[in-house]
Amino acid sequence: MFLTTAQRVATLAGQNFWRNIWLSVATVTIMTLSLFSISLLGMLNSLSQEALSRLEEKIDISVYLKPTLKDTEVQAIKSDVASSVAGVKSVTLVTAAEALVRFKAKHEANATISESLLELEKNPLGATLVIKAVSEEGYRTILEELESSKFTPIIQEARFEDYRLIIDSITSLTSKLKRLGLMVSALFLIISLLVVFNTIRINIYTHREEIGIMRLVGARAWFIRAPFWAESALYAALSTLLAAAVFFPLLGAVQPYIDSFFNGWRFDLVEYFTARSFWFFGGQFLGAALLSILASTIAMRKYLRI
Amino acid sequence: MSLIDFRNVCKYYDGGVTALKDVNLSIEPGEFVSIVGQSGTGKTTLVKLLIAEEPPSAGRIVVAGWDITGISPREVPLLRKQIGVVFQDFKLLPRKTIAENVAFALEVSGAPGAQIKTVVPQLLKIVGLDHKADRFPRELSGGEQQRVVIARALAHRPKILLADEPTGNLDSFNTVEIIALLKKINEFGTTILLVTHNRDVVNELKRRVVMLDRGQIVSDQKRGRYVL
Repeated sequence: MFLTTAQRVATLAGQNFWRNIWLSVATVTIMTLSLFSISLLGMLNSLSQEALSRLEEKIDISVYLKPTLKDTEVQAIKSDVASSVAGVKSVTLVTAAEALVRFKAKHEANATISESLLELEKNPLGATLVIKAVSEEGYRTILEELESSKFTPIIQEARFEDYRLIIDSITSLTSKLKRLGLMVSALFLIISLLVVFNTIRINIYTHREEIGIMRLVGARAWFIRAPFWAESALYAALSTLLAAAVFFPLLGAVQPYIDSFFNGWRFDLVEYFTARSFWFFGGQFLGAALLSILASTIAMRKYLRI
Repeated sequence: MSLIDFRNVCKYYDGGVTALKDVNLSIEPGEFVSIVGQSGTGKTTLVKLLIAEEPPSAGRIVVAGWDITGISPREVPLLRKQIGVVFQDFKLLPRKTIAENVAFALEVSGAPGAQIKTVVPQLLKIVGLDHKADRFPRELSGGEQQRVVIARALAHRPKILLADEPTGNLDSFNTVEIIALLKKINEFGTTILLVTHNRDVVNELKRRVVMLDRGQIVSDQKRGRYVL
């Protein structure tokens, strides 16, 4: 009984869709644009999150210890920093030998540096402590504490690689873009709602004779309304599919630019959104369906006299 | 017990228009009643009240023991399954075949497909159109289209068949055919309410005639004639 009724409702909804095909195409197009702009907003969000987290990973304090210190002393200083300085998340030790290897590798192409190193009989570099703070705000405090404490005599130099300005500018730019994106999406959504409302209104007008006969022969009110709701859900489903069909090729097209932006870090957009497609597009479908069903309900309340 | 009972029914419209005033009418099961009167005498209002398209302003309406005076919108479909309705302008769906038009009445009320497949040919046979099941309404004459409407009205096996000016758009030959069909349906036990201003039809029928004039019943004869 339920399946039979559902099948009949679906048939009527399909007939409504096909008999006003150009109206349906216009509705689906506008809804697709809305969902596509929301998808772009999602892409922008994920990119900014990724960029920020990558930058945050790069923030650290490099403490270059004097080369005269022995390994045991360096180990003791490392433990001391980790336990006594407030706000320290982790301390990584780069020994003098490791520092030299890295230095050589970095300046491999520079013959003068390589020759100078050969002339030196012993390692001129000291060990380095790489300190990560618990919070982004903690780096300045840690640096100040290191520079004005018992550690001062043993530190050759402490450098804070500050990406704060870059992070702030990215945060500011993305929040502006998000606001713009939200406004565009909201505008498209409002237009979509109006278009769906109008489409259902025209469909009710087109089918007024059929609706009159349905009432006459004893159709229940929900049976008369259900095809219009199903039609609204159909618009949402088609729009979601079309938005996804345009969105994924776009991701593929922008991937090279993303790769160059992240400079060696791999952030695969297609993979990222494929893994989240169920929630990302499922959520869009659900939202679009609920809003268009709401628009059609208002249209029915206003124009469908049953 | 009466099948249809109107008790002191009044219907007023905005602007002080009185469509029906103190109508008292009882119709027994199996009767063939003609409701006659000139245009604007309240015949169509009576039909609208009976199928609960509009509520009465005063009085009480009972159909098959069911007081429909204050019927809720949810209950209206149930009432309309008990009253088959035939209109002058046919109200057929032009893009559906006549079999589909008849089936439509069953489909919208959730009848199973198997039942529809059995019932529709039977109904078309009753109205003599079983051989034209796949034709579209535009391919049929006015009389044939009205027969399709009667078949559709019978789809729910209603207790009452309400025909509002069913011959208004038909020539005399088709009129005779439709009236003959209504008489045949009445013989099977269905109560017929024929709303008409066709004098010849009423006089030929020689059945009960209720005459309305300015919203009131002015005569009610068991084997009446259309006299004015």
